[in-house]
Amino acid sequence: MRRGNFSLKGLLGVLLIVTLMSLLPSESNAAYPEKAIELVVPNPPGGSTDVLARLVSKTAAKYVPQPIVVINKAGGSEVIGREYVAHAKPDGYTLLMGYGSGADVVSPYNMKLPYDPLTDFKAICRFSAHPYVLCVPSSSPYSTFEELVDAAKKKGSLTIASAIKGSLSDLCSQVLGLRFEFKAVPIGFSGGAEAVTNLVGGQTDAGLGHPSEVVGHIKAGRLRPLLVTSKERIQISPFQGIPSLFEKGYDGPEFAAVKGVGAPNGVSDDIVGYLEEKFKLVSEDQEFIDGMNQVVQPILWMGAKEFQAYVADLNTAYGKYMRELGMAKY
Amino acid sequence: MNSIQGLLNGFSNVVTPTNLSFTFIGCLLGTIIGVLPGLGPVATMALLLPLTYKISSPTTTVVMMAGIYYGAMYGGSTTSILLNIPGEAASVITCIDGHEMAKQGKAGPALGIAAIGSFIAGTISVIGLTFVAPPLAEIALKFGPAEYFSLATLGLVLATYLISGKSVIKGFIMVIFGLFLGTIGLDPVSGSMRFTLDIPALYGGIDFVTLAMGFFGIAEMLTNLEKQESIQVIATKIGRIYPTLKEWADSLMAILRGSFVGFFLGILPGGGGVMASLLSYALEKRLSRHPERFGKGAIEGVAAPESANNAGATSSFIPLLTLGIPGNTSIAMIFAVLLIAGIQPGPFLIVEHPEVFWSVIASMYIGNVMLLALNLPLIGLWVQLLKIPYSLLATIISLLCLIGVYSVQNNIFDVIFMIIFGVVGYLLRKFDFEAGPLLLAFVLGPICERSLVRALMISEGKISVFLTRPISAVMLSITAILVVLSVIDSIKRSKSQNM
Repeated sequence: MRRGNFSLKGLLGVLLIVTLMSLLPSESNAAYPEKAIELVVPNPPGGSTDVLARLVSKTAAKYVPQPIVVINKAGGSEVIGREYVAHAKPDGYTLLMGYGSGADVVSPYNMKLPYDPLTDFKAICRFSAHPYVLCVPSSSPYSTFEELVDAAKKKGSLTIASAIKGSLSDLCSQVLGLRFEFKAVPIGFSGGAEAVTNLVGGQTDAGLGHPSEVVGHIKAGRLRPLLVTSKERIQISPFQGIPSLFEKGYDGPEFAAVKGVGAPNGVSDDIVGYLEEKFKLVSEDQEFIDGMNQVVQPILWMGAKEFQAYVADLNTAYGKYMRELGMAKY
Repeated sequence: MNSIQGLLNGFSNVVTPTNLSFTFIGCLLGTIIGVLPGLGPVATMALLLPLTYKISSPTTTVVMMAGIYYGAMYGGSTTSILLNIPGEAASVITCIDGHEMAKQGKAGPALGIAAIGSFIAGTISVIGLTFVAPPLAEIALKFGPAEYFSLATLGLVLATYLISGKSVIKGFIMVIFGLFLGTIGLDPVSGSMRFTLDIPALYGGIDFVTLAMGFFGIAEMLTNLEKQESIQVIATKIGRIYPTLKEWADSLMAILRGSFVGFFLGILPGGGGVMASLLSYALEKRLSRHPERFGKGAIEGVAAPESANNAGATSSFIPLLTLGIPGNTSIAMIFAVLLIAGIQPGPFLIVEHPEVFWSVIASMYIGNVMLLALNLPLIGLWVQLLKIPYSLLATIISLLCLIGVYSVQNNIFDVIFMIIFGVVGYLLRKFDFEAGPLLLAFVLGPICERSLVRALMISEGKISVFLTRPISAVMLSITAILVVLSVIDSIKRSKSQNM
């Protein structure tokens, strides 16, 4: 039949081509990455996680052939962004920045989460961890942590400006009170920035802030740092001389907002390996190092396997504190 | 280096082709996104940030970002007046008299006064920023939870001044509804999840833009589409484009008072902008010889809040530049931009990077002039928009609202909520409930509650703290006086009605 262009041969030809195309390597075997990678930040733009994500995205352009695009999905105490990544296709094109933070290791105990922070995510690497710096306003008469604790015991309580109730910073305040035997009254502000602002104004006796949040005020002489909550002292100026919590006889998990990268569980080991390798290059890049120093964020690299175990351990350790303090609801 | 010298250096720095172009780009972008409902300065700055990595000078980046921020304030008044859609919390007040003026065919003068008022206010605010920034920042630091509580309480009482409709009871009901909506989400002080129904999208509470787009944007459209006559009314009544001399004279004092109110309140981190526009409006209404005009298209009702807005936007830079404290999300974004560029905002900014400090300030003077030049000629264009057949205009507005609300958090739930609020708002309008007090209560309520609890936690339960702290005591006294005066007023009115 030769009527029109529609012929049996043509149809068979099309079918043949389509069959052959379907046998071509599928996406997961093709060279990853083939298109832009979404790096989801579960916070509004401008915050420390966002800044870190943008630095990573900027530096990664040197090592990864496709752009890494920062997408903000703020809301719900970092839950919305995580939910989005947890339920995304595990093809390596949707990643979470900020994995390992309080939202993964503290929130599960007081919030009903639409995902499991440990099993629904695959850890890729850790870039940074921001410990807290316990500071007092310059108007305060105390210059060492011991003086502060003594005064707290005499006065009966100590108000500590912290982030929202139930957050890592709130837990940290309470644990300080628990371990050093004074009554800690954490005042829940909407975030670290608001807490630090109120502390600088002398509204509370003491306060917790990340190094990047307090550095300017310390340099200006408005805040006096007394303690850092990481195992080691912070080596960036002006924090070098400040003792660590662990030097005071504390034994337990360190308190730091961990900033790592996670992917939805189910992502292939090849992709994890690729990303781990490229991000390691980013973390060692001089431009990245300079950038992180400028924004006062320490670089604390940890690889995939180690980081996955680290997050699980933190979760368990904080969970114990939450139950001990009666803060746990789940 | 004294202020004048620093400023002159700043000017010489800014008046380069590059810096001038970027200031202009910022102002232009700011105006555009200010006009578009929903889209805000923060999202725009975030989008542009990667492009700025290639720019070598941090000054250039910051003058552009700053331009976007205060430019958005200029643009925001356009949608408030023409479409009754507030771009941000601070624009809600402008909608009240602004849109009434538009409905009376006076959209041109309303936009004109808004632009000119914004220019005067912006300039006054920059002058204030230039000379008195550091001491004012110190005062801002004195505002702790007790002061915020008193301020928010004052604001809530003032919000009742806005109830322009016939029924005060209905206005109060909306205030309470607004307070309720403000409680939804995770409370930072107690850590409890309120009314979230286990929907993660509600954990962080409802976003203001969603509420505003719904109650003002969608509801307005639904109401208008139902009333066929109003479509014709707006289209045929486009009168003069520019304000008359009388309108000018009336607004001048409102602009000046609004500028000062806005300048001082804008310095306060968190909520300064809303309080500024609210307080300036209430002040004008109080001082006016014919307060009943307010709510029906009084030009002072546009001039005052718009001036307060712009003055506040500029003065909100003060805590950032002098103390390194960001007062709102847009300023926080600029904070991040500076950090990434290697500049630590704070008291040392003026010492370590005087060229950045003074250039940014100088760019604000220039930016205000640019914005005036941009906005005034556009008024004729905007007013013509009203001539578009409403069926088409409504479609475009809906589209912009849908996109705008999604752009805030990239969350489809916000869109769903907006539609729900739109329908609810439409139903409420049919029964003469107005949305303004609801939105204000929604913003002020959480500030009030959280500050109350924090203040009491810090004072260990002593309620007297609100009166022993001087600033708080002053504001509470003003609140009490206002309440007493209102009661006296209503007694007088009912007596004269009885006679």
